[in-house]
Amino acid sequence: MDTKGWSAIYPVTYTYRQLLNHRMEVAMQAWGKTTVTNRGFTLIETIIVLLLLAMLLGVVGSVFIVSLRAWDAGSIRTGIREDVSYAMEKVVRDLKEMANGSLSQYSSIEHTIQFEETGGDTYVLYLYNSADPVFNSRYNRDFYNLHKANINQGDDPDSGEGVLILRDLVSPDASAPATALTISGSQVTLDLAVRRGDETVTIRTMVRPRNL
Amino acid sequence: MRNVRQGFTLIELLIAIILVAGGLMVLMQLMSVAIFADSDLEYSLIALNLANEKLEELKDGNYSSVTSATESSIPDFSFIDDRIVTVSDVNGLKDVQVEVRWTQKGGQQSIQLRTHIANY
Repeated sequence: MDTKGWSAIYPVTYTYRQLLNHRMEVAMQAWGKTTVTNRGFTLIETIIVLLLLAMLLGVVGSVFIVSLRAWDAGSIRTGIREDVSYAMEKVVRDLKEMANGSLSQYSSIEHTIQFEETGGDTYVLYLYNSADPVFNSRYNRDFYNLHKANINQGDDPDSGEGVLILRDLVSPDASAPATALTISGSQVTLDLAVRRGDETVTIRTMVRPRNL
Repeated sequence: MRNVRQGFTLIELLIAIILVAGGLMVLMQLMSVAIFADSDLEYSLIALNLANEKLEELKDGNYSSVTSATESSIPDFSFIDDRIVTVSDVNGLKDVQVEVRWTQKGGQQSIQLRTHIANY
């Protein structure tokens, strides 16, 4: 017998494939005993990681929610600011350039401004809430819209006619900040306080009609 | 046939988590910058209208009452530090400057309006 060759270990009846398989099995068993590669995490490790992840997500999430709220508030304020500055610009221009006519309240109602434009038409700026059956001087609703009615064209302030200039104004009777349209002599003080949700933006200015 | 599916180590996971958290923080920082930039505009708008108010008031009053003055606060607008009127004579006209100042983000901001008022 040949004691030095493969035939000493394996009978000749084995095929080459069988030989290969056998060698591999032996090799893998030996290797598997020395290193365990797909061991996975232990329960403790997994729990630690999950706890850390949860804590981090908690911190990051709460900061994120706070900044989302601030973002929301900011975008509401931006919207209000745009609307208020448009309304302010429009009313200030109208009053600055009004004709040399009378500047007074409409039917002696507070927070209304009646003025004449250079075309000769008479206009009324007034605060209106459609829930009021008839427009009047009692500002007992929470919110009002600012309208500009052309009296000569037949706009009726009692039914909220005319151009809508600004929405969501805080009632003049509310505690400050409140809306106010005040005439004193030949000057008009405009306080526009707009509230949407929890956000209120207040702007004040004064106009002195140039032609008076 | 060597098994190479090794999985992550704890350290690798922690690093990944910290990186993700850092990235989120940067995003939120950007958000707060945008929010502050926005409130800047609101304060400027209010201050501009208050400066305008003062100018209109001066135009409506007597020419002789157009003088330098400082209001150290404005009712209902507590964030405003002061409103300063500076008047100087220029060829028989009054050069009027209204400055409204307020403090924001630790620094003082201001807005100025300037005009001439004549004695007509």
